[in-house]
Amino acid sequence: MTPPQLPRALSIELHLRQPGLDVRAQLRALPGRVCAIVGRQGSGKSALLKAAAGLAPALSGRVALGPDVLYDTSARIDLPPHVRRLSWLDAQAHVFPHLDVRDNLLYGRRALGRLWSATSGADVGAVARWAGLQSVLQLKADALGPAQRVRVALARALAAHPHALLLDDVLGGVPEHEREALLALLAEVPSRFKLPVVMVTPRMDEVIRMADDVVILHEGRMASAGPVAQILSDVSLSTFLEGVHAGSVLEGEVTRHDIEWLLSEVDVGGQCVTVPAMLHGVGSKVRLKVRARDISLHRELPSDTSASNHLRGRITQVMLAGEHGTYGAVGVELARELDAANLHVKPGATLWALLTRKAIQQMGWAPGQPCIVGFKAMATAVSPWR
Amino acid sequence: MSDLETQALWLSLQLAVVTVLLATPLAVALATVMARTQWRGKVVLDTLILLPMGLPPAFIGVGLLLGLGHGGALGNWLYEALGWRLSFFPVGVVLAVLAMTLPWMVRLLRPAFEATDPMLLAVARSLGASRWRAWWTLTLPLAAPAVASAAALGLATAWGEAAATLLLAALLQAQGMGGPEAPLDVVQALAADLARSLARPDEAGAAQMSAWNLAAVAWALALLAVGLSELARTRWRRMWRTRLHVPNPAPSQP
Repeated sequence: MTPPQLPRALSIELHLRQPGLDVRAQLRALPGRVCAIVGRQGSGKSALLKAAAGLAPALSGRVALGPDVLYDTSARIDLPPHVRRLSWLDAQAHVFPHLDVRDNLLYGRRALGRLWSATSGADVGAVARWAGLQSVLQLKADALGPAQRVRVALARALAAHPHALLLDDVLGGVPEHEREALLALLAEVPSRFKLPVVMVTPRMDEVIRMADDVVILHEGRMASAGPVAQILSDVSLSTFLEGVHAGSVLEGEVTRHDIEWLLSEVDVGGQCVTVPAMLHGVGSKVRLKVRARDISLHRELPSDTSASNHLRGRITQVMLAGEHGTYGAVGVELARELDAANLHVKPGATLWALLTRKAIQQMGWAPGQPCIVGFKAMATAVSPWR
Repeated sequence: MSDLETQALWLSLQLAVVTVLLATPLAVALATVMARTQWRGKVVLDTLILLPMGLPPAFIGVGLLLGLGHGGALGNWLYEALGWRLSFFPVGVVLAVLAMTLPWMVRLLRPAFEATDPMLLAVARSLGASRWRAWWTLTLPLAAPAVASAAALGLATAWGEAAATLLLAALLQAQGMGGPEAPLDVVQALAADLARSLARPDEAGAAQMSAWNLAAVAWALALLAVGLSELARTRWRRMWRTRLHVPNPAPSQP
């Protein structure tokens, strides 16, 4: 058993077979960062996670923590799950029914044996406090509600000092009214425990809230992968995801709260976006979601409009849904204000607008043209980001 | 109750307890292997374990004698290699009772070991527990009531079989097969008592009394053991229902 080490990046590259499905994917999660795997039901997300933890067989591939190989078919390395120590948990929590919460939390520590007690690491008690479990330490699984079970499973996983955390839709069994608190707790994990986290979830709000990178799995293949704001701002997304409306995700920082009108202002790459008032303090990072069909395009700043947001940008792409279709999507790269200090020019955020084919052709939108993007404050959904 | 009767009951009880102590770990191991692994030939082993359930006890005794006894292939080998020879008592009798008891215990234990949620074990493994540790800390404690139930039923079975086996062994010994072994004298004496009373009905009173006494004790112990077994089994099932009830995952967003 290895003593605790500096957190290492988790890289997964696997080929596995499920009944009726051939899964090939690769992803990477840095310590303290979250990689989300999204996709329709039966796209192979869960199987991928289990195979990475060593709980299910894979056909070939490689799983590594930094330079240390856990699984490599070409080198014939296949470490058993208890040596890999990639803590895996799912919606059912699997709290050990014959042990009370305290013994559940101590399970991983005891499994590591004596070697462990000499080394430093987050104390089990501290983890219990963090997860809000002190009052239930003596209880057994049958006395816990679904949200508490997930808390126990999460705390138990973290108390075992895993090398990475693999979360398979852990909030799937949690009732709606308890989900927010758990999501907030979950969002603290990456930075607090400095672990690479890979999560699978069918809910986009969890991705927007937690993830840095996202991998879209479609019928076992990677349809798309990259930073959240970039990937989730792709209009073609709704092809691969159910219940997701084409739209864009913008990352920004809260700059001001307007008490009189109950509005907040968010800085997105130097441009100001007005959104309904929120509770996140000035300086906190947020992600804004705008649906593509709520966005209008203008050549000049409109003078008479109810939309409070007008951002400058440039058309990058015009895609029509067929030659004679009803609508098309127009991609806009937002202008990025640069101050003298910010020298390296990053590409601006991308927004997509769904317009009718008629509007696109009558206004003659084409790549390269400057434009003004308009949307109402009420059309934005704000989510805290970490 | 006469001294002879007490001795006879005590002998049966000792035999049953020793058998159950031997059979329980064996049955747990077999049930684990049968419940958790998949391999060719598993069905053969399975059949062999359960076979004694369908065989007359005398068959098993004869089989043991032929295989392990003087002249049997395995028996000769054991004698040459280790200088060990099968004796009717206690080894032969224990082996015979064991063969009769084990199938019932394995049969009873297997569902409990099969019912352990494999995902529970998977989580334990990912928390750093080896396969053996996960078995020791999860599979076994979760199946503990079933193990208790199987042990109690095993005791009842062994207790029931012990008397018949002892009688057989004593009779064989009386025929001059096997060496002089003291405890069997008790059984022989008891059997002789019974035989005498059957031959002379006018003196049957005392012997019948003795038979009734023995029967009462046998009944009481069997009842106790089977009762315990059922109690443990109910407990196991209740635990299964309440503790291991997992909430249905909420339907995912449409």
